[in-house]
Amino acid sequence: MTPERILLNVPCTDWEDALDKGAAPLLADKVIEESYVQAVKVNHREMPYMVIAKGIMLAHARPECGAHKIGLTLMTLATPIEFGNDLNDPVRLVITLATPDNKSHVKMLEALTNFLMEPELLEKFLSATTVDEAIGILKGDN
Amino acid sequence: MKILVCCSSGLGSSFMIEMNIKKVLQELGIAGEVTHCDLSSAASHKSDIYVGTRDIAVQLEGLGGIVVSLNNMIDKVEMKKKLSEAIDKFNGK
Repeated sequence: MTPERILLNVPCTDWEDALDKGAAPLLADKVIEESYVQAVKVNHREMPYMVIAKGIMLAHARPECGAHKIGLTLMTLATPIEFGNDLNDPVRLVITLATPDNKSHVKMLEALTNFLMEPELLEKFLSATTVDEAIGILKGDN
Repeated sequence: MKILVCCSSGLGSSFMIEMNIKKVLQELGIAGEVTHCDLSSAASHKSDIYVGTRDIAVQLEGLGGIVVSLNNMIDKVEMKKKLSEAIDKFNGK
């Protein structure tokens, strides 16, 4: 994880704004096209299943929707946002994931899943105030 | 025993659930073949147990297998409980 892919305590007005802000670093680095962000929104409108767990949104779409490389951003929200998933709202962490094919992202997703499945690590990450601190938590430094 | 995990794209959540299931199976000491795919190709992967999040699971009914519906896909406790029930059902217990 590079520092510019971690966004902390970001103020967002609604879920669309949160998806835009989470995707911004990937757009800037040409990992994804704007069409990818739109595809994520369409997916989410159809079915809010990407709120994968309490407070966690895993924003992603198919590679052909405009993903060129693998990429991941982690964004914590300044205030929790309703995403329209009655079980897992409100969202506190928006993960934006891009993969150019069905395989490239497997290792990254595996590491991410292992991280998300540790509630203590996740809580620590959610309360991180500096990017250095957040990266340290991801690396398992503390 | 074949377990198939589905999500809309077949890339993100289904893969996460697959990893979670493999961990749980290992803990339970049960052998099983776990794969994942997108919802539209689910019907062509004949399986004994189909797993998806709540929104997806309703669309897996009628494929001929036992359906497991998850609320939280990274919750090992929920997974262990629901998967054990499905496996028991599969084994006719």
